[in-house]
Amino acid sequence: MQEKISMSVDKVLRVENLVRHFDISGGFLDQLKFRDRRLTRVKTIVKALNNVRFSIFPGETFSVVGESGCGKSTLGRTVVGLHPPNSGKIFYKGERIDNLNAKEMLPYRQKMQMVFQDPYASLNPRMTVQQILREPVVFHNPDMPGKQVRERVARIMDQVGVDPAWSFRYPHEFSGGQRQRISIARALMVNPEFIVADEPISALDVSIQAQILNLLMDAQEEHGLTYMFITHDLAVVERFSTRVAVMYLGTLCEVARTADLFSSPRHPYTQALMSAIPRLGRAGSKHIKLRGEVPTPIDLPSGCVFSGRCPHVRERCLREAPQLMDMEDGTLVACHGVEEKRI
Amino acid sequence: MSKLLEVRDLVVNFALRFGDLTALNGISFDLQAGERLGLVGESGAGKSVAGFSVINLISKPGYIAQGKVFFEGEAVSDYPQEKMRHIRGNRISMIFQDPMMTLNPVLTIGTQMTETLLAHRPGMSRREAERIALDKLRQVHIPSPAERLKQYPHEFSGGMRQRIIIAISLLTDPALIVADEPTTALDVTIQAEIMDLLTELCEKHSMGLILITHDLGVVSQTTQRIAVMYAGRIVESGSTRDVVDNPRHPYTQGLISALPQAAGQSGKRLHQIPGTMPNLTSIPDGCSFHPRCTQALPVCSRITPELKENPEGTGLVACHLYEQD
Repeated sequence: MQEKISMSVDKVLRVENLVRHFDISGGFLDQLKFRDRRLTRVKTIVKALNNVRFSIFPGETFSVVGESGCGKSTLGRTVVGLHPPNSGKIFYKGERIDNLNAKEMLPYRQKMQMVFQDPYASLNPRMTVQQILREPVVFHNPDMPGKQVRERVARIMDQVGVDPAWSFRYPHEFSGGQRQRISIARALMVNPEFIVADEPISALDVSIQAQILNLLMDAQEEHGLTYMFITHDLAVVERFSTRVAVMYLGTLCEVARTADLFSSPRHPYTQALMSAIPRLGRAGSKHIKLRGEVPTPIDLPSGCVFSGRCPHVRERCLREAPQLMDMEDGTLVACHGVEEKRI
Repeated sequence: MSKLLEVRDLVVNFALRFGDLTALNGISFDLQAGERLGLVGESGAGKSVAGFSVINLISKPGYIAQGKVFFEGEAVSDYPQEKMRHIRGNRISMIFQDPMMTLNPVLTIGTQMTETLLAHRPGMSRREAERIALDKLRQVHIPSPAERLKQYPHEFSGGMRQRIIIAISLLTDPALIVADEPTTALDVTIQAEIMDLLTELCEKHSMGLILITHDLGVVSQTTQRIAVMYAGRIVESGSTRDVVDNPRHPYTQGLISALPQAAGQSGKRLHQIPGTMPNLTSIPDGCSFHPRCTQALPVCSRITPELKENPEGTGLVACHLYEQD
């Protein structure tokens, strides 16, 4: 019932068959390779995103999890328009935004903000907090009077728990947790509707992580925000998100509501991932052992990307790439085994 | 079980221009042969310094100001560097966080492994060293080890590199491994494999392990005993199960309930410890945790609590709340 209601609501974000490849072959001379005593030109392509599709509903926290190199950060950056996609479509509240030019994109940039992982690298060290927080407001609202901007800076600083009296200090004078608060404040300055948070807490200590997560939850409540939350920390995901997308090698394996994903993971990779979470006080718990290592996104396996490590692999998995299928409870799974009802 | 390692009232200072900075303020712990101990704390708690001081690897301007480290009955903290080299990398091995920084990128794995062995076993032939290297690679479950020996570090993935580091640390059949955040740079599924491997090897060879990490989850799955550090002191220690299930020190309690996996409904606010870890230059008087502690008593800001047996007698805790008056 819950699902039906949210389906009828306008989606904040809809992504269809998104593909993003990076050419890392370098210059012409770097591309030349000898093969069978012949000089050939070889291009090296990193296939970061392959046919990704999902939707995000208003007010929810949509988490994207996966191991390093699986393309989750690329997905976040592509969605907010930091990378153009090679193909596929991105819709923001029903409007297509992936083919807009920089000027047409401007109003959307104000609505979609991003919080980055490393608060040491994402704040300009030569700007004071005041300048950092002013810049996006003044850029998007050039006519706003200075007094109003200053008031807004003070109000948002207060909201994220940084003393407004410190607005003339530089980022290096703040601790990691406080810097992350300033990053969040910067995103909140322009009244966004949708925030992509790319590993916002992984550079922080445990006790500070809790502070920042609470801050993000408070901000969501206060401003009615929708989050796309990118992380590798499954414990955070379980606590924090409405729905979860599990990514592996640039492909979505499973998209499900958090409770469903954690109680009954469907995809073999999700199952392995869930069992690998280091849990408190469950010493020596058995987890599913995966064979081998994550292949590089340069030479993607043919067929299912997970086939090389999957314990349930069959001949069809090596041949044919599975597509995301809608399950009866609204979960999306891309697995031949689940489709054939043998997993 | 015999005592493998004994650390007594260790004080480590860093001599800086404006005076000495105390990174470790009188810590003591023991390790039995074959036992696995977790040193847990946030960044700046001094857990890495504690690990390094065990192998007498505190580099300038740091120095051991007080206290002793006994390894297999010998006071290794008094050893000159020359003599320490026979122990370090031989009887005690280290595993560091970043496997790419630890391996030499311009030498093959085989060269790096045999080099280590030949340095510690002067009479050994190169062929014998290669045989042992191959055997250790097999023990850490690296497929086709003979071919892998001829490869360079960049040809391995992060998880494989950490396996190789573990293989190198096993070369000399050490009695103790000090692992400083060995899986922080790795993904969860790989982390689970590496921690399983370490536990399996420790049990098989009855090696001791000191696991330095900020991740309570990893510690609770791997170690038998745990010591929680805060601002250069051990604030609580005991069996891992007991401390995790029944934390006594307010800092340990806060740390555990701040974990997102702590019991509670999703979407609800997490318990948070207010404030941040004090800078080592300005550690507060009395209990160093008292400005952040919700249960602080007047005495906490005056007197530093000693690490004493807790009321149930199951472990040690440094907190005025548990002092009998």
